[in-house]
Amino acid sequence: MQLAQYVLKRLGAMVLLLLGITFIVFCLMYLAPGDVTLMLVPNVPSHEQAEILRKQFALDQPLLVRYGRFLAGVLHGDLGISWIDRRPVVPQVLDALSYTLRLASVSLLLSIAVGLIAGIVSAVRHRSLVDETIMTVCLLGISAPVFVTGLLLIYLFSYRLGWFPTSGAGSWRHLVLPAVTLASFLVAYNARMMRSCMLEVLGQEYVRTARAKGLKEVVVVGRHALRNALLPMVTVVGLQVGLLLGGSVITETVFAYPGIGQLVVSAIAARDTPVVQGCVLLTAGGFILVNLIVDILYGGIDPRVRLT
Amino acid sequence: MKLHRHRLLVLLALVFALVLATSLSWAQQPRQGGTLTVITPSDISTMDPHDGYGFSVRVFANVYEPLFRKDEKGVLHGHLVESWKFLDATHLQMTLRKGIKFHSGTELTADAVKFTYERQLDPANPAVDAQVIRAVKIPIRVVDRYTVVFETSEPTAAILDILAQSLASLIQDPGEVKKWGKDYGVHPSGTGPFKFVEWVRGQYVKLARNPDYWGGAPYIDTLIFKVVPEEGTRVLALESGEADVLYETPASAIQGLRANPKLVVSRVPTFRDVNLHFNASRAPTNDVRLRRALAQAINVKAIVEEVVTPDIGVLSTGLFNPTVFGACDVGFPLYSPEKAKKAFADLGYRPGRDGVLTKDGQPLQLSLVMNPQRDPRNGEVAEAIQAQLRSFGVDLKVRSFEFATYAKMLASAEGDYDMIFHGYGIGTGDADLKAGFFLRANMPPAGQNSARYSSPELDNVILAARQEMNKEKRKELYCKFGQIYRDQALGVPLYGSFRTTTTWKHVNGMTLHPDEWYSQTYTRVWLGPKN
Repeated sequence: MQLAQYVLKRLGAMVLLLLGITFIVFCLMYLAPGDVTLMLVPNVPSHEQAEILRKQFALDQPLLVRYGRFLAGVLHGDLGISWIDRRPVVPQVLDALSYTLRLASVSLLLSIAVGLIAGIVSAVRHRSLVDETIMTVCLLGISAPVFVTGLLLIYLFSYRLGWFPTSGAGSWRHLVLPAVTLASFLVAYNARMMRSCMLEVLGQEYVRTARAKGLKEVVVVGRHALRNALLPMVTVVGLQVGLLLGGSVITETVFAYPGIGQLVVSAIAARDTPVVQGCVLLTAGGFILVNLIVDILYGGIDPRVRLT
Repeated sequence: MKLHRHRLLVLLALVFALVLATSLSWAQQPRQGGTLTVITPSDISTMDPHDGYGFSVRVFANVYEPLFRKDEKGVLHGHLVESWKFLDATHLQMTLRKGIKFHSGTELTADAVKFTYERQLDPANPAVDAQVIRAVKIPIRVVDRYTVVFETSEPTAAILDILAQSLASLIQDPGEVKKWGKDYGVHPSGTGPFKFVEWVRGQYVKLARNPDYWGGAPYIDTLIFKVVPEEGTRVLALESGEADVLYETPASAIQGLRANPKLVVSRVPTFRDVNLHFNASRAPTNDVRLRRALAQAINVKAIVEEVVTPDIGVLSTGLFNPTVFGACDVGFPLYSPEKAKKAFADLGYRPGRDGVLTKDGQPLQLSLVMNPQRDPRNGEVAEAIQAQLRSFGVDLKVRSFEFATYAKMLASAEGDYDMIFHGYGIGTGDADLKAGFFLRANMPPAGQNSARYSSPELDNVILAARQEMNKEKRKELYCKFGQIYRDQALGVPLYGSFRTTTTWKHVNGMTLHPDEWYSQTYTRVWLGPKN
């Protein structure tokens, strides 16, 4: 009962938050210099034609009226049509989101699996050659810009070896290189995080107690230490899910992957406000939801945390 | 013995020659089949020419067709039109080829031409490119099943070029437009060599061979336009063999690709050129003497040779790319450091603090507005101009904006710049489209007169050229136009653009068209063995 109340309260806050976010984005798009009508008649721009388009897009209406209309549309599940290709926004955004979800989930699983293992090994073999090697590789992973990693992977695995396509989406083979590129950064981050959490936990007294009881090292690390070390990781991974939901603009661009990051960037460049709004609404909503789920999970993992 | 050896050698040579000859002739025989993949930097927005935008147009050229077409040498041919004649200065009668079918199976008739033009020019909902064909008056008169008469609002010398080379002039299938309504953009039907198959948003557009194409069915079975936004990836996608044609090769990759023996790198002239315009509507550049001094201070030749490089552009001597009708050498570039120095001094400018020219306590500070992505190396060219002007004591601020903002600044009523880069590809290949920018009527915000200069004399020349049906006289008028531009120092023509298209060696029969939008088709392209 308490949990249900908590969730309801958080959902209410989410609505307010989304209102705020969409309004800010609306204002930003309104204030941004440049004009969608000029993008649409690129060959011989004419004032009268621009005026016709402004009428069609209701750009001649005051800001608040337009925002009101947008909200009314949202209540009906209608986010309007794109100004650039004049097709409904919702299927476009959902389509891009589904691609992003696929990429995000694969790279997230990859980064959690590899990152956690590397972090644990590093912590357990603290200050050993293995630890140093893992940490050096992680440093590289964190420091290398994503587009450099991406282009290097394309050069090596697509151009030289021909194992995977250079770009595009559709099959699992299209997913490998962008997922590895995205994960390379996250793995490094997760491994370093996991290592320091683990090191901290391994120094705790209950770990010493467990060892003193004569438990095997595997049990000490795997059961007693890991569960406690995982707590901060849940928060970190939750934030990463949120980030990934927004799409990785650079990775998606390098691999010509039609996710939501690319969609929103091209929409901003073209001043296509309905598409920008649609993307922001759905990704922000997703972000907030994931955070809520993380908080609930937290209570499951750590009985000391009570959701109130 | 000796003789024998000789004979053997001759025989071997003969056999070798024979094998070579047969294999060569076999290799040169067009073959049907295969998939051609063309890389495009940006996705299409629709398959409906009414709303078409940006890169969509390149796909349209293979699905839809105009009434006339210009070949790669700039010669105009009737395309869907078999014969035509001017009834008088404002009436053009055209007879369509018979037996042409839309992809839906419906026959192309005069009614479809009427429908298309009236749809494109609908005052309540004009096509994106309607401005280009605005000379055509609606309603269109249909004479019989295959004959239409177009009336123009004034005598229009370039009318055939306009009907050939514009997005708005692609003939659409009336039945299908009515049937699909708003969804026509994904259910297109034209008369072109390829039929639409599918469009996967953000990834590719797939077209298939139209076996019933009236001009002879294409050789390739499938034509794919694959979207790759990132430059580096685009080059690797070509080199890895995933794509066959890289239509626009990034400037930075040209050298590397030339070294690859499996690829053919072609430098293609275009209808595009890049100019620097002065803002003649506000101080201090409203003074023609200052504009001229600035034009004389910029060493365009050095910039084009060293910064732009011959891969990207050829030095301009006039206002239009040499490929465009109306191009005329009017004696640019004007570079003359002595004259420039003297002119600045005559205007009362004296070197002040930091060596910046100063007059009445005011330093000569100017701004240059540009969009770095619009043309290759724009940023570097701007920096070079900045450095050159600095050596004369002119303090130039380069203001770089993304396209939407740049376009807004160019077209805004205020015109907050002293200089602006203005690159323009004249789709029609006829000077009128660009010359028209300089009309009084096109002063921003109404139009694109980025030099913000107009005079009755200039208007007269532009309008006279628009209506002059005699080609020689018309050319002279555009030379006159160029001379006024030069004498008023409205700007500095920089370079005529080249495009670099890279293809695999197995891609044969590709004609590379200076018009990169409406005319680049893949009908005669065939694929040889890949090795």
